[in-house]
Amino acid sequence: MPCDWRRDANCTQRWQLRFHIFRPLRLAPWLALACWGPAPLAAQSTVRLSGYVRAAGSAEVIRYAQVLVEGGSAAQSNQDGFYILTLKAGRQVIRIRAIGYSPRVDTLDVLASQARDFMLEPVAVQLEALVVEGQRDTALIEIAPAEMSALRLDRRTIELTPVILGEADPIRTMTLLPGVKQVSDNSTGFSVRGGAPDQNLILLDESTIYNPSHVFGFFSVFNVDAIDDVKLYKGEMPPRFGGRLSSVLDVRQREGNATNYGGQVTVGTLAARALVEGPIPGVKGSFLIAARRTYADLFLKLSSDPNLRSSVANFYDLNAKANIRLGSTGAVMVSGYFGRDRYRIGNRFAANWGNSSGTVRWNQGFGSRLFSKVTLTASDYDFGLEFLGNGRDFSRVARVGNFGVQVNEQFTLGSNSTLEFGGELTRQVLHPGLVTPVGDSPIIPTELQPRYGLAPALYVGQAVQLAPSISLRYGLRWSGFRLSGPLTVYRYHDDQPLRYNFALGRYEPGIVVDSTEYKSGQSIVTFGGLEPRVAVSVGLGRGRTLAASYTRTSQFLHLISNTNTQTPVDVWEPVGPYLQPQWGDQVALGYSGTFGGGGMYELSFEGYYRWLYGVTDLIDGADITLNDRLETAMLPGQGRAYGLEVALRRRFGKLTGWLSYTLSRAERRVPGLGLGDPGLNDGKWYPAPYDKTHDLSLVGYYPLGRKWTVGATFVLSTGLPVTVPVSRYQYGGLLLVEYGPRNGGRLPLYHRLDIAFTRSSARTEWQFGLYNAYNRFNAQSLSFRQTEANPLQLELIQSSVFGIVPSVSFTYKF
Amino acid sequence: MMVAAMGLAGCTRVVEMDIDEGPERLVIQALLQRTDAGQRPQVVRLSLTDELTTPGATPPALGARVELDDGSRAFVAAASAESPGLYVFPEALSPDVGGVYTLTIDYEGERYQSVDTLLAVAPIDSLYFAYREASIAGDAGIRSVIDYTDPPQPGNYYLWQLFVNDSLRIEADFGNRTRLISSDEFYNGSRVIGFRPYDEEIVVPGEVVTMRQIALSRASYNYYGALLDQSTGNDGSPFSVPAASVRGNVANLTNPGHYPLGYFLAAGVAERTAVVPAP
Repeated sequence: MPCDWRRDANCTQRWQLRFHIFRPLRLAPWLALACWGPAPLAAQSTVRLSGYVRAAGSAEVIRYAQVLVEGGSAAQSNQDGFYILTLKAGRQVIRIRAIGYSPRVDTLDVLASQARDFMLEPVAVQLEALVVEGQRDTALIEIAPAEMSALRLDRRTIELTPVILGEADPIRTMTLLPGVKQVSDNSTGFSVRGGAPDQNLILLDESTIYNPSHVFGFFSVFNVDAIDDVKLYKGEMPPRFGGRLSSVLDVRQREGNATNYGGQVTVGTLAARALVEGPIPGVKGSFLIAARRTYADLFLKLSSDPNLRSSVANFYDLNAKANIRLGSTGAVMVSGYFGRDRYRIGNRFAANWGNSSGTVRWNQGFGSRLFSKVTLTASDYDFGLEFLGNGRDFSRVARVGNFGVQVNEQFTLGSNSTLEFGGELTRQVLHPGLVTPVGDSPIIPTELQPRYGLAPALYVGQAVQLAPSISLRYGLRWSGFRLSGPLTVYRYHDDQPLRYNFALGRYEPGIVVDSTEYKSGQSIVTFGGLEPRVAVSVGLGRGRTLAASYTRTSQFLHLISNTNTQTPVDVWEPVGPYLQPQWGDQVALGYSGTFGGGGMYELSFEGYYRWLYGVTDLIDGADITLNDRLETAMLPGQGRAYGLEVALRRRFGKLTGWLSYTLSRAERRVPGLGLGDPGLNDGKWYPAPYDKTHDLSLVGYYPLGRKWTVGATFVLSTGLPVTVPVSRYQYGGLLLVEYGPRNGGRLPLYHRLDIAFTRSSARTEWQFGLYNAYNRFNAQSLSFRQTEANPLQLELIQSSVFGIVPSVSFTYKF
Repeated sequence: MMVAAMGLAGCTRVVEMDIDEGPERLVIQALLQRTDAGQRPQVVRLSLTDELTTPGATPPALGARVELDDGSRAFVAAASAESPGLYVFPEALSPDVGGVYTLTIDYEGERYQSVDTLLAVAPIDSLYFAYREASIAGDAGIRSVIDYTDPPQPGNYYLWQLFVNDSLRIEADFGNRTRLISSDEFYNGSRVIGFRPYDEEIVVPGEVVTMRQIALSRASYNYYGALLDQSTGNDGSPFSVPAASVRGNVANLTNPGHYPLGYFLAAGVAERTAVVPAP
């Protein structure tokens, strides 16, 4: 029996305790580990070099560059391009390397700790595509602090990878990597290691993007021109990240060229893009502004049909960023994103949605040991729908937003040990629905109750090189959430927001017997839990590494969706008196190694197992539209996911690219309320809607002469699970069907070939693309309809989203 | 529809699949009605599920005993000779608003039962016709339009039925969910003018059109919502809901696992009939 949280003051606390107790944490060993680092070098002989690694020409920072002392210690520039290197005083040879840049070797007389930036020359059109972190370079492998289960994509790879309508897309390209699955051809939602699309934290310059979709999900909101780097953490998650169960997609915008003004214009099949960048006059810094807009609606204007002419279909993006340097080790960054989609079908229906996000960040290196960041973020997502021309015209708007502050500190303990700690506090405001009349309509303006939450988090972590070939990263994060008033919370008969009708065999909303009004700011319920994370990697010599990790994550927001894929009109709901937090554990074990001349090939295997708790599923026939009491429509459940990922990459040579294969299973189980009720699917495990047993991607790039490059991808995967109809019946003039087990069937095999030819010169670039080159019919759904010949006969139909789609785009750089 | 407007429409194809046919189930269509346009025959139609792609009407359920209890009297329906599967109650059965009715069906050794309360419905203020231009949402033609006034107390739910020359018109359509049923949650107590529940159905001059406005409860509103969602199939559009069986309000008392489909609805019905005038 669930406890009565209203009458029983311990109830909420009990929840918290469960949240703690089921996450056994033995602090002592972790604390002991913190002292494991090698003994500090004698102070008088140790100095530190710190600063940024930057690109020559533009002075933009280079993230994740390797900085190492020949025969000595090593460091990596962090996600903001800052490195701290501990070394012995005296003459030292320093090597600096980064993907897409020529390596650099400097001989320096380092007599005292000092700040120093290193500039690297970019390599023209280099394809260093898939980076399984920690296996970056044979020469560096032994000293790199191995990071498991992380994937990176650079802008050039994204640009050269063929995608639908030639609109380069980091999310679509990411789904070609192991462990990342596209949930549907018509959704930018992606599943990471069996997780749901809402379990991915999508960050643009550290600010949350709640829904990354344009055009109902065909394209993502990321304008590739403005993007510098995309990194996905799918397993081991650094303790500074939290708030989502499955992954973090960390997208960083470019800083802009700090030395010269420049820009580029691209005209593509779907949209036009423009970008300008340059130094900010009067200060040391740079700016970048990028914009993108579709012109699909311009074609509508050419139509002879007045309804089509009055229709609207467009989206735009605006990305802006400014960066000002403070001294030699500091910087202030301001970044913003604004995007919106607008659709109107004649005078019948309209939809619009958009994300806005902003980040202000100050980062500073102090005394060559500490790199400090203070970040303010704000983010907002809203959608609006209008139902028109039918006597009861109204619009429906929902929004979700947050405002937060983060402090992140990175402290170098010694040549082989770095401590990371910090915290964040986020104010979360959710408006699930506002209904307003449109025109002369009887609709009464109504707002569903907003939800107010406060999410604090604290973390500490250490990366330490225990031995030349053994590195350890571990950390602990505490995440909390408080739901506060104003809010009316309902109490149900027998404390059951949902009850099972045994006679009728169905779940029904509980009966409200009482309600409690909470005042503004009054705490309603709080949750908190610890999330330990640990990863160890062992170098086996000759570029081979064995790594293992354990990660716990939690999530306090649920995306309530009654559609098959994530859509722009899904509503977020925070945890509360009835809805519990989601949390999960993941263990992973991986091996990677290089072989072939000079380490031409890189092979990696990674196996994982995940346990997911507190996940929910909707009851059959749930009505969630403008429902103020969503607890009456959903049941708690659990999930499990496991799989094996294989990646083989050819790192250099004329042909580069990778093969990625994932064998996996993602399942859910909703056992019911524990009152003798059957749950969903009779309480049995069933495949998650995005479960694909086999998922293979083959990606290749090949230069054709000096100017042309051909990029091709081939995708082959098991069809999506579907619920199969088993019989038909007549009711109320309609032909309906009775279904078999939930997700009990499969769509046919999915396969597709995409090709893009790119012609690059100093100032111009042409790209000709062909999506689904052999026009495969890739079914995305199974449904039924009445046949044309006989309305009393049903036929089963499969639907695909895209046939063969050609595209062309032209870019001019200035 | 919206996706089609973007010119990105995918395509569909008919497929053959080996289906493991589910168990045969009884399907109950029972509307006990109190109509403002005079008494209608009170009937129950019983049919059976059958193989998914069989052409023609589904088989009738014959030989059932159908009984309705109004709390003081029980009425037994007679099997119709003309229409197999139709069971007709005697004219003495005259349901009233607020009455609680129990439907009991004995079929093939199993007893099915359901209870519903008859709710009142607001009248249709007027039924008239309006010409609509062609649009993405449909062809040009005349549509049936109603005005109605929602009562002042909240919690009214509606279902609309359209009869043209005495035959029921309905097509599986994506918009049904928002038009054929309605909750007064956001317009309680207001007058609704110019509402076209059957916006997809074109009528022509001379046809006799009857619009029926039927009272639903919260539970039956949920049932019809789920039914209309499922009737368009899971068409793969971003907004299609996951496929799931729709369970009604009739229980199998003998063998609960062998649940029936359909619904027993006791409802007040408001009717308006008009002839489509020449333009």
